Amino acid sequence: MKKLLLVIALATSLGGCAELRNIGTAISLGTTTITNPVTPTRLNQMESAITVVFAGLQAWKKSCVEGLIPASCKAQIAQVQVYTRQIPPYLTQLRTFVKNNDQVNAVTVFNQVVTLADTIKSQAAAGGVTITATVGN
Amino acid sequence: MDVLAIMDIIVKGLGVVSTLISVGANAAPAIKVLTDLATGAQNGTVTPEQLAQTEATLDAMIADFNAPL
Repeated sequence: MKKLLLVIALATSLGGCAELRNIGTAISLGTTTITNPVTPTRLNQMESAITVVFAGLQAWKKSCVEGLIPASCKAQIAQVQVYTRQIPPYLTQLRTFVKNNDQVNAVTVFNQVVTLADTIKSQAAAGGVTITATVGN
Repeated sequence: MDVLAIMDIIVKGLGVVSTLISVGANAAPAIKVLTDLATGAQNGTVTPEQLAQTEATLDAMIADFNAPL
């Protein structure tokens, strides 16, 4: 089964903040197909994983706001927000499709969320935050 | 139920919770999500109420992060 492994490692860009060096968040999402549907349980699992990711991002933002890390973090976070702000509409659609058991569209949107997560990785990396995403079997 | 995937989330989540506490952030929502996830795994399925709670927590976290600095 294909998996998406998204690891957020804030270590490289957060010098001087020992606690944030330890943030490591991974979400594993099986790539969906019609034969591997997005059930409510699977949706809950995915949303829980993303919640953990955003908890880590919140810690990053909090430390930035409080001036615990270099001021360049503000621009980095703003760049990542361009993409994190695209997530809510996808989640709204995905929840509706799962509720209605519209698997064709649920699978499509699920995979769009995976693609968006990959884009967030790229943008965060450009801002100095290392996010490693691996899609494997 | 993908037990390994759930355990992966819980283990990573605990690491994040530790960090949240270290930086003085509110770790309670993340802890609640992890607890609910473990409960759902134990029961073999997720209830609509659990799913709604997870979604509400996630929506709040996304909104918080997406707010301007």
